Amino acid sequence: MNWSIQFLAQDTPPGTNIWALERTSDPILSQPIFWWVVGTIIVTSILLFLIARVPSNFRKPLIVGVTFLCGFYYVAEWLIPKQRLATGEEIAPVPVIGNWLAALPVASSTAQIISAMLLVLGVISIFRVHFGRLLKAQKDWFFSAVLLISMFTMLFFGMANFSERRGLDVTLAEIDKAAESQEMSERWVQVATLGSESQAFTTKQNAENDAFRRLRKGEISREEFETRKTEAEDVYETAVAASTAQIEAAAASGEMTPEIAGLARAGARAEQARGFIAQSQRFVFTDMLQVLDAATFSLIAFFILSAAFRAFRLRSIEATILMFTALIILLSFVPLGLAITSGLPSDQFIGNLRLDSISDWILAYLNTPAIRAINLGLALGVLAMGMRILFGLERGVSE
Amino acid sequence: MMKFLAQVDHSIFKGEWWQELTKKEDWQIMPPMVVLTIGAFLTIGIYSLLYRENKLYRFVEHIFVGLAAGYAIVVAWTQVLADQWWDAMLGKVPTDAMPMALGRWAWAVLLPIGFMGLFVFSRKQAWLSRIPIGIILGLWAGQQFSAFQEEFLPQLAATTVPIIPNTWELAGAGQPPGTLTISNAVSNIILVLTFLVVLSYFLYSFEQKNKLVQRSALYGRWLLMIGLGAIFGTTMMTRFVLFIDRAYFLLIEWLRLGPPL
Amino acid sequence: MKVWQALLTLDRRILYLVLMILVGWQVVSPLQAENVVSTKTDSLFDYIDSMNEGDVVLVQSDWTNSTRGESRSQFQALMRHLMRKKVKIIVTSIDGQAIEVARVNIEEVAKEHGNNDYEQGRDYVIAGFFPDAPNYVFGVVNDIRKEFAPRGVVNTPVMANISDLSDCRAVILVTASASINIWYQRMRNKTKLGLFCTAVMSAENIPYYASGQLFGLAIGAKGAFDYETLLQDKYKEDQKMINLAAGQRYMGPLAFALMLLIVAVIFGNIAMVMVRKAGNSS
Repeated sequence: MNWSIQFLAQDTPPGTNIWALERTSDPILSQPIFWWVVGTIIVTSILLFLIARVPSNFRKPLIVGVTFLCGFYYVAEWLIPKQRLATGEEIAPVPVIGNWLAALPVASSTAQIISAMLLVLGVISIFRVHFGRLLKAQKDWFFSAVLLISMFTMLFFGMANFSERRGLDVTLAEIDKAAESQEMSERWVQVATLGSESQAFTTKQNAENDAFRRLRKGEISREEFETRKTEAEDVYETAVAASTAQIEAAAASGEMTPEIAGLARAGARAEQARGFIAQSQRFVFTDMLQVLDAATFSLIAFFILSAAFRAFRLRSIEATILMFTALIILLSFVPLGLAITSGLPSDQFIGNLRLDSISDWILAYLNTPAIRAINLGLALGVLAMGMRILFGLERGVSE
Repeated sequence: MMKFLAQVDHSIFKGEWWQELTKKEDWQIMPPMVVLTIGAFLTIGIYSLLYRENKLYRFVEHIFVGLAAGYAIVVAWTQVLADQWWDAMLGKVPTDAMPMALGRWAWAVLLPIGFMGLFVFSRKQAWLSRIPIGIILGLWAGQQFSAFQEEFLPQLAATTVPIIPNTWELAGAGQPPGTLTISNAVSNIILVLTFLVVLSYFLYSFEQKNKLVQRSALYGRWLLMIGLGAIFGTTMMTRFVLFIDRAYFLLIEWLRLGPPL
Repeated sequence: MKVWQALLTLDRRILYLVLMILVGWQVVSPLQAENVVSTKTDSLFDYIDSMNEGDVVLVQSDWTNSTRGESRSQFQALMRHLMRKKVKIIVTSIDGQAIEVARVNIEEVAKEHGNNDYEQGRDYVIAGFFPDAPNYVFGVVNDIRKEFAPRGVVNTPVMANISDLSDCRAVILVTASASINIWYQRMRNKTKLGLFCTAVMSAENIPYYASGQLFGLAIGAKGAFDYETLLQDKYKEDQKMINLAAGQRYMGPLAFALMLLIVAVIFGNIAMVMVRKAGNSS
């Protein structure tokens, strides 16, 4: 009788299950799973269409009911006592229904999927605004065009890179299989060669970077730097030659050794990472988006500095306390500040006057309880908010 | 300062930086230095706001928003929907190396539900968008009970510390474990009092007639300032380090004015 | 008197320029000072150092390059330590950009000398991004294998001995957001929790260190420098290993930037008093 929880958990006990169907390599239109999905979408849409038609005085109970049912799952999960099996698995047995905890991953996935869908809808609304501005050639249409071009560039390379990475996963699995059965083919020879080259290249680049770093720090002379560079070049040549010989031997004997499989894995990764798509994706993500992100957030340093200069005035006891604490904390977080008092011996009474001791004491005995009290106040608010949402008292949600 | 000038001389005047601009491996689509230069241009565009509002800043800002919006969709699909929803729903075709995955059609229910969020743009049927939001909020709200228990009971336990010393020693160095010296006890009393006083300031923030509560709330505000002072100090630190990191990017990674890490 | 008046109405752009010059100079040739390692970072390091080869930790990396200055040096120091101890790593994130950043940084650190050539799938796995943080933590705490099953990492050597979260030696967060709170709320004491956070979050997290909910805490760039110092103490024999990095490098500029802040506030106050005095006397 516990098929209901099994369905919710999308569990697949032995035997056929109506809710988990096989997927084969036949054309998608001829497979039952496809039609089941289409049917589910249609049925749900019809249901939702009917819901949209309900009289307006049923709307609130409907939303409150859905919200409560979702929340109730976790409340029950919290209240039902749990058992730990010998296998280490935790279960929460409920008479008739079965293991209540089993459906937890599904509840978790549901929330994640709906959040992700709403995220996509949020971006669609950005698109609407800017596309409209562009179409009507309103003021600042140029900036909207820039925004839309950036958006679609990122979208294209992000998605293309994702499908390439999936292809890479398949290749890696194939390599694993080939390594298991020790079969070598022409394709693996190519991939392993690229792998050995890319690994040797990384080693060379690391050695060169290290030499450059040492040169700029003044640890080695320019001659030494040049020598190290040539050395790295030689090491690169030797490594590639050695592994090429190894690969050729393997190709001749038709047998894939674990070492060759390792090279092939590295090669498959390098093949993907050196492709046009992966490089472009790295460019727009790492070298543009991330750089802009960091620059934008660092602007705030300037604004706080100017605000502190203009507005931080010791007019009241509160402001003085705040300033003084901030000063001690600031000094205790930089070694140059700590150096002011680091001469005091830490094992004697006078050691209590060291900046790190004072700052630790303030943080542990004054800041900690103050923050705890603030957090407790906030948490009580959150708890109340959670209850209001569950019982449909929160107006923003239910009405 | 001389050291600084020596560094500058080292990189720019010997021409290394200019050589770097065109250096690349065969498989690279752009020389690394060109990539860095574009990043530097974007950074300087953002910083131009510090001088005043200008066209360059707006240009760079719109690139930023566009990239971030595009990335939000990429993330939603690649990290969640593709695996947890699409593949779970339709299953996976078996290949030579990969086994078949069963398809669970019930996941398809979420597509119409998620798209009800679109009704937020409709004036008449906006309430329908509350259903997906209600599901997420319900799942969140249901977890708050155990969350409160897990997070705050240990906090409260850690606040109920012993306040009566069990030795007349002043300082704690070299004492056997379990002894509470006078200085420890005083610290603990301060800890408990601070907690109570700040809490009273928080919970009784409406107007008070009781003299004791008034007093306690006043001291609570002072002690709260210590917490806020610590927060202010640490906030400054984070923001400065972010700027320092950008300065490192511009001066060391891009212009090569000093030794790298 | 005019000087003070001028100071009060100083163009903020001059202040910005002074900050840029000070920081720029210190970034190029930083002043160094001896470090005093904080006890919070010390206990973090000690616990991780007590792990054995083959132990597994779950690292949740929730930072992106927007907080690169603090978080990257923390993350890299942590990865160096774990890789040298041959501890296996499961990486997750509740931030979509963060997981990509984590991947790039792990690959970079894995290539360094002395880090045992860590390889994805064998020594570490990237379980990916989880957008709904509370449900993800809930899922991991209740059934880690089921939660990670769709991510294709469960059948790797990394997770071979993990049937429950309590089989992990620790959950360690490197974060720039409040993502740690969800772990406080949902951990159920299954394993230990460690934290690398940005300085701005430290004030709210120190209470959890004090109550024992965190086994250790590294705060901001200083925390990274502390960790780097401890790594340097442990691995100083091998010259080629990279121990001291950005954490150390950023201390000099940070000190000067903070000094500018302190000086600016002091002079702002003096100017206010002086101008007010002059106003009263005239």
